[in-house]
Amino acid sequence: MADAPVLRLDGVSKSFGGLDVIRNLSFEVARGQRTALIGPNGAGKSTVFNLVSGVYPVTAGRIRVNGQDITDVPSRLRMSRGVSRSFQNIRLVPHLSVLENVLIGQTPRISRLAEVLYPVRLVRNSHWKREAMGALERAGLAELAGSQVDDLPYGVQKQIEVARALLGGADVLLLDEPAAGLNPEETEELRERLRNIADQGTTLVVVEHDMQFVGALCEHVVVLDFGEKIAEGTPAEVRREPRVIEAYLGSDAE
Amino acid sequence: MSGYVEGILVILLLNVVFAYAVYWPLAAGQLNLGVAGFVGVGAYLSAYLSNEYGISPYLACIGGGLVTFVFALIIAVPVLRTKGIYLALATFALGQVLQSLFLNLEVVGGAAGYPVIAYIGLTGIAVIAVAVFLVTAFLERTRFGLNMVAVHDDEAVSDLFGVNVRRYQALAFAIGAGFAGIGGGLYGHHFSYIEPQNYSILFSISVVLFVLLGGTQTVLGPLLGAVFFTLLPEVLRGSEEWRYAIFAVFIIVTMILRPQGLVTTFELRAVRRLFGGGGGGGGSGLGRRAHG
Ligand SMILES: Nc1ncnc2c1ncn2[C@@H]1O[C@H](COP(=O)(O)OP(=O)(O)OP(=O)(O)O)[C@@H](O)[C@H]1O
Ligand SMILES: [Mg+2]
Repeated sequence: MADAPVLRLDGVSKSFGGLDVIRNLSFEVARGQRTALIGPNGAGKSTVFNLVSGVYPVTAGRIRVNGQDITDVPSRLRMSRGVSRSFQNIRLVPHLSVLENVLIGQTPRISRLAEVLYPVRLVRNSHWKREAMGALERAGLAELAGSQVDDLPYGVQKQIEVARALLGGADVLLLDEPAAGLNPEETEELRERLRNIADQGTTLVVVEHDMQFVGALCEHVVVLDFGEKIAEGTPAEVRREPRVIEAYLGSDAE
Repeated sequence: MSGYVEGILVILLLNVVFAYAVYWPLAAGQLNLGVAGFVGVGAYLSAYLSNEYGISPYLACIGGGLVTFVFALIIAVPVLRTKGIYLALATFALGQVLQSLFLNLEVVGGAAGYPVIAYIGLTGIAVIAVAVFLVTAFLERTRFGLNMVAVHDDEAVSDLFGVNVRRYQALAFAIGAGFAGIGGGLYGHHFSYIEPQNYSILFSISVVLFVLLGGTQTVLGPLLGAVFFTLLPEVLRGSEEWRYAIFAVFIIVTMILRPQGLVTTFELRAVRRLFGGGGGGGGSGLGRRAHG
């Protein structure tokens, strides 16, 4: 399935009790591509992530990952089918340390009983811990490994989520506002890191309000407004689209 | 060792076993108010096995625990459909049903109770109680234990990361029940007599109480709770009439000052740091990243 797009939505719709939040949405994400999903507040960006990761079932349409239809695959199995994600509202496990939260990211790769019963919180230098530490080091968070997560600043917690999402071995990573809460230098570091991740073969889909960040990181942009795709193309192309300008003028984002 | 000290130790060790019976479901976010029922199942089963078939009382206790585990795993399917307060009520009802079952089972004496012939002394109880603690402490350090914390804190995220939430909850419930069953077997074989009145809601509630008192965030909490609950009334023996009142006040004050229990992850981490180990696996854990 080398030529199939990593992620493909076909006519996906979602309504919550009569309210149409996503309407007939179709787009493709090619392997290795860095894609942004943008749109004003309430456009439905997070809902798209929730549909792809299986938090909600779709009302209509199909979702494919690596050419395989995952629309009816239970949410629990979707990471092992290739899609991982972070959350807009931080969803770390408060009673686990930073390192242990990152270890949770490895769970989609665990299947054998021996692995389930492996004392990963006891053995000091296991390959699991080394891998998780490596992810923390790359995010510049190594010295926080033993800290409790809820003491940490918002932006740091977001980076822990990104590190956790990376370890599931997924082909496509959905990141919901990963730069929220970061200062300009940290945002630039994140951008570099995401670029490296993409260069190593992981496909990225990023929801982000910071258009500079999007312009500098992404090659491909999908614009949503009221649950509909109103534009798609390179950052420069979508910026010129009259409908995009119109959608953004009436909202608080630029 | 005096008979008095030995008697206290037996109660303490049994309370430790019961504490972990309640701890497991709590670790997965479930309050089991029917633990006395599972204690009863283990007590009657093991007593019946050793009385009628002459099986070693130790094997009978372990066997009783295993059967209780399987029984709870099956029961978990309907019971765990309920959540929160309704789950607590469902387990309460289950406990009541089991107790009335013991009252009406004539093969094991019904309301008159059931004498147990074989005997298990302090040493045997100690070995099994330590084993229950060690198994719990080990499992808590495995990936199974790690995922269990995730299930406790956030079911939706655990599910997305591939954890079978229902299976984890059922297993936590059943492991707890299995320990309850083993504890019931030990109780019967030590006191040589079991009767349905023992397995009442009061029993369940006091175990839940001292486990919450000790704290459920770490594996040491239930142990500490059992120690406090067993020893404090003894320490207060001087003031005979008042000791239970003082004890009750102590519990209420603890619950107000430390609703999360006496020991939490925080203290445990502080202790580990003190001894220079990074239980977390790296870093001092104290540093905060400067952030603008
Ligand atoms: N579970 C739900 N039930 C009902 N309505 C929902 C639910 N989830 C989302 N919505 C609605 O769907 C719409 C899109 O929400 P969504 O969170 O996807 O927007 P978004 O593009 O991520 O916005 P933001 O930029 O503010 O994060 C909103 O009107 C929201 O109220
Ligand atoms: Mg959103």
